[in-house]
Amino acid sequence: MTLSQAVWAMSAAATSVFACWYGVGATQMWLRTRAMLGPLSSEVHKTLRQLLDVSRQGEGLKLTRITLLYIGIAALVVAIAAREWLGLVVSTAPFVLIAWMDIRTTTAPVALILGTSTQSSIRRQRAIKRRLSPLRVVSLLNVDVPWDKPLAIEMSLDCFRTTNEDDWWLVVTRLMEIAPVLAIDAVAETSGVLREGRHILGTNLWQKCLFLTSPDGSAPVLDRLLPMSGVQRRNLRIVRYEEAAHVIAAMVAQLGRRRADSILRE
Amino acid sequence: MNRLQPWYATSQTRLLEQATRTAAVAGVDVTREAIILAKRFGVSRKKRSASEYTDVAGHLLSNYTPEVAYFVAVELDILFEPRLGYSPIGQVVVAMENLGIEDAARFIGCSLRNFPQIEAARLAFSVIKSPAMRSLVRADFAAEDMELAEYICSGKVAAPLPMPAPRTEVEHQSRLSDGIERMPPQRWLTDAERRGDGLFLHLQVVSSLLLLLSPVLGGVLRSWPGAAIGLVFGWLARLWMRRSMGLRGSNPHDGFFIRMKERANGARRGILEALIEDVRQRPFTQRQCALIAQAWDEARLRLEATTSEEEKSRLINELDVKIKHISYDQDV
Repeated sequence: MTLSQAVWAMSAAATSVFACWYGVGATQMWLRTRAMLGPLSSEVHKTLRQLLDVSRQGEGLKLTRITLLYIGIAALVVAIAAREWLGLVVSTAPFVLIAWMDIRTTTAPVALILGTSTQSSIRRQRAIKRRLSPLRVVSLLNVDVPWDKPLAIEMSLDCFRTTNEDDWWLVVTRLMEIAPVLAIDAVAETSGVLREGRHILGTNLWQKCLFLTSPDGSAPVLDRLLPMSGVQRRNLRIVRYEEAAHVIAAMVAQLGRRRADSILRE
Repeated sequence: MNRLQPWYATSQTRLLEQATRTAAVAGVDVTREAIILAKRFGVSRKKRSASEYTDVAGHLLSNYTPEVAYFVAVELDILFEPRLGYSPIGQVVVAMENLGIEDAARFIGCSLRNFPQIEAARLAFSVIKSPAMRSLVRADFAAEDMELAEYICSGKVAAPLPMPAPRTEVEHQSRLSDGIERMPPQRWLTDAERRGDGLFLHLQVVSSLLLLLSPVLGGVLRSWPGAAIGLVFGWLARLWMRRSMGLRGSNPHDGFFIRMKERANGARRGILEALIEDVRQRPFTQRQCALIAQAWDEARLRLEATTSEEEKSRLINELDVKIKHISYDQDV
């Protein structure tokens, strides 16, 4: 075996493992989401792509996609020039990554977490995300935590925080419509959270919403927003922070069961 | 505290930001404008009567946006109230009411947003007598926030608990932006501009990738000598592409202004630069380049003169607003 053949074989082995890992991840996410939420209209994907474009990750993702595209083309050109069939395996990897990125960023989320951008709330989102993985859990929290890079990197693809403040309300209301489960921090008394809370309580969205409270059970956001016509406190799902991941997982599982039942009935 | 107070405060902040931004773009110094205005219309001799201020109101609306006009009037008030013994801005507001036009309503809307408490704004609204002006001011608030409009412009006593059903319609703007910070208001990218920006991004990636691809391709085809030739070719190709695209230096931020200066001095467009601008259908004119270079020079001097990080950040934001205005505004 010549040196060049050895290099091609090693590159092909490494990239195929890489491509398989991401390919399987994307397929799993797509299938589980489809099983849970059913086939979603192309409109939802289009909306998510638009929301992503105005998010802080938008520009970076665009550049990454273009770079991967050209790396794939370049690898293909080199493989053809070298007449090395293993090169085709190498050149497939960037395209698999592009497909993974598309699925990873435009798959509909099963849960939307609303609250203020504190490290504890970002960690809470991470705990919920890990619990529900491979399903998507998104937020608009500012996940760019400079002193905790691994956390920031892990959460970046599920963050829809906007570049322009003016887009915030549009993005948050559209995500509220798309996500089948909402979780709002009922302790964070900021004007943003209060506004989100009022919107949820003023529409039927409260029926799919979980209100998260501190360990002592206090929920100042609800104290300020209730009473409200048509909404009774006893009808709301109110849980403590530490139970959030478990209860959201149960709500999502219930969604899956309901969907399975409806398919069986049909 | 009134539950609408935070939103009222947000509306106030937005007004202040918008006025600051517009004034910066137009190069308006409100204190200087107030002094000029006072001299021109003899404010120091005016009596306490709205009819005395009709000329001031007319001048404000015809020379500035309502937001900037309002802050010029505020400055006039600060400068002349001690001398006159009454608040001139009160007379300007009544004169605005008499004008009865939409811009006057926006001016009054600004004044209603500038109280510390929302209750004061509500009280002030009840002073407006003209039904037409009340309706216009209400519309101005409603365009931003329905609930604020209902509270401030109703004239009724605040609703007790239980609270009324909240709004469900989308607040803020009704259309997503392009995800670009500090763009001129209501300015979205055209399809051609998007295509041009996309082309720029593609060319940038290709120029970097050529540096890697050429030696690898050369190596595959002609072994080590091929790799060496490929490296030289890739390097030259990258150099040419970057230069032709108008990229200068290693820092893209500084590089942009270097290029603007070159273009302002009459340098010709590079081939790729011309291609991108043709696709965007919005080439930089020499005047635009000169304005951008001038804005950068001024901002750099002011940046060098300050040590406060907050001030630096404000100056950078101001420069960004100016550049976007020059680059995207139809009138420049």
